[in-house]
Amino acid sequence: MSTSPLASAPTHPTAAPAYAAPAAAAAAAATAPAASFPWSLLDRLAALRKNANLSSPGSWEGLHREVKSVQATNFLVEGAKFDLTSVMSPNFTVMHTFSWGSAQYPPSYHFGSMYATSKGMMHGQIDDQGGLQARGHFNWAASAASQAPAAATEPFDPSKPADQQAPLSPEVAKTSSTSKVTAHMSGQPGQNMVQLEHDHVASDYSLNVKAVNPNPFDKPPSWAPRNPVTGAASTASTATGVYQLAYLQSVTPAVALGTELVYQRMRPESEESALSFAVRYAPTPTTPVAPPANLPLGMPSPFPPVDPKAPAQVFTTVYSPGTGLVHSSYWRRINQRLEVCAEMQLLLTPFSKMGPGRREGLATLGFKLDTIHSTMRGQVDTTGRLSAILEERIAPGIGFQLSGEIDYAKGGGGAGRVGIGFVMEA
Amino acid sequence: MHEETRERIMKCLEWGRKAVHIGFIPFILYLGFTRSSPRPSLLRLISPLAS
Repeated sequence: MSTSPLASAPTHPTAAPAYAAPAAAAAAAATAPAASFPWSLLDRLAALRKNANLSSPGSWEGLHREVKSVQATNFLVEGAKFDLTSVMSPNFTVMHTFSWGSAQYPPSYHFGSMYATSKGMMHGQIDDQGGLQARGHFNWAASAASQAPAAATEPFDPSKPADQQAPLSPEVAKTSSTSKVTAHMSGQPGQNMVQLEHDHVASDYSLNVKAVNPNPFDKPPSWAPRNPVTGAASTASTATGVYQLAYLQSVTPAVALGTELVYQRMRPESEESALSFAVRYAPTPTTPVAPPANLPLGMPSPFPPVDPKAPAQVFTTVYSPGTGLVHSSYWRRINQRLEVCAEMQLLLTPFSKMGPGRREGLATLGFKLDTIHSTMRGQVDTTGRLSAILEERIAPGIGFQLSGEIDYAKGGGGAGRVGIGFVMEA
Repeated sequence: MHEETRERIMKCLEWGRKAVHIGFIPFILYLGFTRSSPRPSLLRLISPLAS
């Protein structure tokens, strides 16, 4: 500890928590500036975290992100879909989406537009019924390196051998501090949603604060104490909404622990809260990810190189004691073109006054396979549902999707759905 | 807080919501058109094939 670890305070705000400041400042002024009791402890903690070589755990929402990018159900097309994207300039994009022929949803048209800069992003999408989905992001810690527009990087060109490909994006610190606003608006009252969120991802922890439909001026609940003199109903305000606080901390280079608190008060009369715990195990691979085994000898791998520091396997479990929900997932990258995943969701509630206990589960297996011009995803789960999607890149900017799903557990030999999609971007 | 104040705040919020609902997409289009160079053609709003 020759240099003061407090110099790294911007990335480790816990080294100088604001609430401790007045008392600690007085103590520090009384003694030498180096080692008053609370500071030395915090110094040591900051140095310990620095030396432990911890990795960023990612955000709470992204705990299962690897599995979600593999599972076919997240990419299924129902009926037919036609996507037109106009890239007007590197920061400005306009999208049209037509979809029809689905058994569940009526034909629809969506118009979307997006404006993005290195600091922030605004995205709006309106459908033919007048419903608007608006999103805005603002990154407070935008650095030029980490926020280069995606269009500036050279796209992957499979005709070139691996060693002539554009190099991997340079080592960027995965730190960000982003405020987000999301709003869903439709004409009818009671169907509007506003979500305010702040996401702070630092080098070894992440913090997420979220408020959905916050309303600090709602009516008091019916059981609020009445005015003792006049007997009139209370005029005090109640804060309603859904509030979430999530924190993830890496404790070793491979293991991150986290917890999330959700407080719900949708109406003044009802109040609920729930606590969840998470473990994420993502070791850094010791050997680089292998190219596919069936390549002819000497042929350079036509697949994009994988970041050697990115974990090749991730195990995540989230447990919510209040609802008895266990959600765990395992993802593994086998080689440059193949990723596999397994997911398990369990609902375990003991017998109680609320009713009999429940014990239900759903397990899913999936894979994602890249070939040079296409991506294939397949998935099977324990309810007998089998789904697959093929995405074919016909030419740069033109893609074709074919998706299918069949539920063998449904009567009459199973119920299936197919879909085709056409994507054009220019 | 008085019932009337509460209603007034709610009314203001509803006005703001309506303004965002109507104005958000035109605002993004305005930003996109005025801040990109070279200025894209209006026809590309409708089709990516127009140049």
